[in-house]
Amino acid sequence: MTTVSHDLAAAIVAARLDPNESQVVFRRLLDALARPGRMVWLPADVARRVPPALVPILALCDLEVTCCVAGDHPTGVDWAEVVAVATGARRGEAHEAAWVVVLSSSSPHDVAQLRRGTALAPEQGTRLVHACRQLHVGDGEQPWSSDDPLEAHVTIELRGPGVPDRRRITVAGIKADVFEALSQVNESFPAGVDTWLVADSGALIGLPRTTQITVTAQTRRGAH
Amino acid sequence: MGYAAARGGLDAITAAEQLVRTLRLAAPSDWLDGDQIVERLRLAVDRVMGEGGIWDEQLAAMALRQAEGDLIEAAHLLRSYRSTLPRLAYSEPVEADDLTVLRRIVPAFRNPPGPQLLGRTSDYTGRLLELIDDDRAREEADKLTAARRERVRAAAGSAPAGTRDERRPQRLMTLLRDMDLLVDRRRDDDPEPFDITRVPARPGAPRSARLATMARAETGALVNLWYRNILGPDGYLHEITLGEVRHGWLPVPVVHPHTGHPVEVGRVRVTEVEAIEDLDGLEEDRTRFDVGYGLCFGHNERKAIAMANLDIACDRDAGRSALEQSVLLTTDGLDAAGFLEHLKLPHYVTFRSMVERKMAVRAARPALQEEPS
Repeated sequence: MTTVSHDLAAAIVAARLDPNESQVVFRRLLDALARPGRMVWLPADVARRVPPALVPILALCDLEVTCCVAGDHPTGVDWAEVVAVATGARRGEAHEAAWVVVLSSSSPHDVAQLRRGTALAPEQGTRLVHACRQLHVGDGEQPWSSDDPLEAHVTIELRGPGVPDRRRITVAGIKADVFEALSQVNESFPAGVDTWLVADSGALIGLPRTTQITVTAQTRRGAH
Repeated sequence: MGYAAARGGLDAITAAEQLVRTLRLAAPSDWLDGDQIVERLRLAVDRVMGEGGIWDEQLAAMALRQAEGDLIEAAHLLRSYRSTLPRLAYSEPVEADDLTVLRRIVPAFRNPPGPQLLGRTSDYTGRLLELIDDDRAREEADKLTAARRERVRAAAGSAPAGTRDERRPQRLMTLLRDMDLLVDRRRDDDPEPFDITRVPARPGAPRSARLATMARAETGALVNLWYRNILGPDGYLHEITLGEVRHGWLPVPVVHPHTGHPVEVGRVRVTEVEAIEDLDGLEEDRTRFDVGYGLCFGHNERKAIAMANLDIACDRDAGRSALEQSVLLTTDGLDAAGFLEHLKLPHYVTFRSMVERKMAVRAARPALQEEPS
């Protein structure tokens, strides 16, 4: 038997969702995909216990599923290990995993290598959960509260099924070229990658593979 | 293929849901609790667990109550709930001989190896509706309970209620095999079973896919498909005799994550049937028999018997007819009932287009309208 550190053990306990919690999370994830660009909230008591971006895989993954948890989280806990123990999910590399969670930042290359499935097996496409600092529905003029007004942010415009006409959202903590890469990954519908952006607050926005994304504005830290 | 989505009537839909809920929850009689349903409607509970594909009597009872007794609806609720549960572990394979029988009969043989254990059955009971009032029923229940307790007390110390061999009897099949009366279809390899909950089974699927499909199929659908082969147009069955009909408990072993050894984490009740078919085909070994197999959750002999019959029928048919397709694609209760029920949703757009097609045909052939009928 391996010894488990106290932090890790506590995190594993916190990471176990009961079926009712999982069902609520599943519903919210579906709502987010059905209405891309609209803000949805993860259940607060769950999103408080673990990094919110992990909630989707904790709710939906089990030993049948390959998961990849990429990037570090300021808590310093080995969250990939926590997910593996709490859900029984197999650990895999980003390019082969059914679910990929990015806890910190990603590059266009990371997104480009994700599994997209094929026209005959679109369900093989990866589900990507990307953590971000903050989310705002709208075009980013004074989107944030006072806590971090200089956070670099990107405004993207969304079009497609579930979006009446077009909708803009502003995201802090994900670079513009990542959205451009995502846009390219989803060029051959029905193959593609379904994405949820999850903010530190537990706010969530869905970007299904049907959504066309255009970067309309970006600022850099300190540019204001 | 497209259907007009149900929209525009949201208020009406909400009101209809509310009406169902109100009348169900606020019915004037006593609330049915889970134990009552499990103990007094046990066969309905077993059937719903089998078709729902999950072993949990209390959950099945709650589904039955919510579905107001509609078995297919209850199985639907249960299967939906099941799909939200994580898979915690894979159980280890168990031998069918590990079944501890509550009932075991061998219709084919008067003196089979092991006992003929009739158990809880109404096979030999006249179908008379008991018009008995509640007080008399309770009175009789008390007497029967006392008498049963007395019998158990009297038997204690003399003969045990059933030795291990009697509760895990040998099979008639073993005897037939010893007599060289069975075609040997046993295989040496041990392929992974087909998982119908992950991949839809299509004709040409391995036998495990057919068996899994039938184990979860709607009981009535299997009985109907079986009967089509007896009296109906299909006729893939010749003359079946039942070798084993068993109802009992099977252990569920799981490998312990630390010790690596299998441990029993629970048990499930199943019905198991072996059906002996008299081979009479030109290319078949007419000096021997073959055996079909059926096993399903709970006490559901009708289903397991139909399943065992259809298993051997599929094997004999070997893809020549549409039988396997019927088994794999048309016996699932949720599939069939779901497709049927969806017909009640608005089809305004599709039907409108059909009307327009009719009109277009008329417009293109105006002479048709003038012809006398």
